[in-house]
Amino acid sequence: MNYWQEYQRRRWMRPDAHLWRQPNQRLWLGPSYVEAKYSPDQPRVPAGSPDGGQWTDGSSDGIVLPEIVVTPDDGGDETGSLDFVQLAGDIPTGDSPEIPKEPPPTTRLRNILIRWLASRLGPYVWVAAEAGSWIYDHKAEINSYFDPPKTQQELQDAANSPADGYDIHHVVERNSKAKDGSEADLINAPENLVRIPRWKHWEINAWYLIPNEDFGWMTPRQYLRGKSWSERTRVGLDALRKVGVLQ
Amino acid sequence: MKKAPLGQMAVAELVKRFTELALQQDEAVLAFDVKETNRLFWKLKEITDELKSRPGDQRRVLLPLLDYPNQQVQVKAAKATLAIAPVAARSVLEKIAEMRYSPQRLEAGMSIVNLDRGIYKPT
Repeated sequence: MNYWQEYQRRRWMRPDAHLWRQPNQRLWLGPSYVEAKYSPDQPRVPAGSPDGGQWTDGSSDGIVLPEIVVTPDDGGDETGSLDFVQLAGDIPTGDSPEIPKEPPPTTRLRNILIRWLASRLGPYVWVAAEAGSWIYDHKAEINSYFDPPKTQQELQDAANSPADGYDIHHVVERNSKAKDGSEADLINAPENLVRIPRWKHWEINAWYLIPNEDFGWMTPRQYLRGKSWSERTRVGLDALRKVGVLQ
Repeated sequence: MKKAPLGQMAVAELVKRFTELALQQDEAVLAFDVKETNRLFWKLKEITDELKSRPGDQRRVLLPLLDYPNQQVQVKAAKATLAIAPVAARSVLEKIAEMRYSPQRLEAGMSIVNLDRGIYKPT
């Protein structure tokens, strides 16, 4: 079952499926009583995740997405406006993605679909997005995701100018600072702060929290505990380079 | 239905299970679901350990997954086979690390860094 079929199945098996018939329903309908009702038992995204504390459907049901391979040279013009991507060639082919006109019903499914589209299609995602206007709700995060790598100085300078789709990131993790307070100034110094695309920020944060073969099955955060400032800086800068933010 | 213990599963079943888990992990990565990603990480390690413990080190059965059309499957297969096929596995990590838009490029790229610095020593 592909994503579209799975999406439709979820949609029409909902007890409030009639609410989903309205075109642009997002603009017309508020949440149903059932959806709005507070329940302390409703699962939340666990702490440590960028969405930590937000409501979730609690499911990890798989969705099957068609695979499109985009080579490193595919994608749009890095210097041009992503709002007006000009098709210099064919949209990458493969199983053609179909974007639902309505947003997937949960944050989890929205993140999966949008990030899958952005990573596979690059800036062409805006061409594919014509079918689903809801995707423009995430325009800032998507556009910033396609930023080319910048110099460290550029990233530091940008930290003084917060912007939609970007987060201020600590090169050396705040969480790793010495408990005796001796590194408080270093952690929040301008040299340790960079403005980076939000999804890249979340990708780095997640990487720090996930066990890794590289570090003897520890998480990078566990591995770095007690390491010197210079070692933590090195790893922090490597992560920025490898995620594609830093030149 | 309860799944058979890993020790009783045929090698082909273990490869299938490894693939399924890595695909689930791909979704968790896309969703920034750290808890689920971690849960699946340990499930994948159990399968890798089981294959490694079998006569002749059966991790080589994961090598075809280096060409699987999903980057999370490729990364997990590469890291599971670095010790027995370092050239092929590393080349997959290098390829993914160079992708422009890939949620897997950070992990792949950092593994290359850690291999080169001697921090990551596959066994």
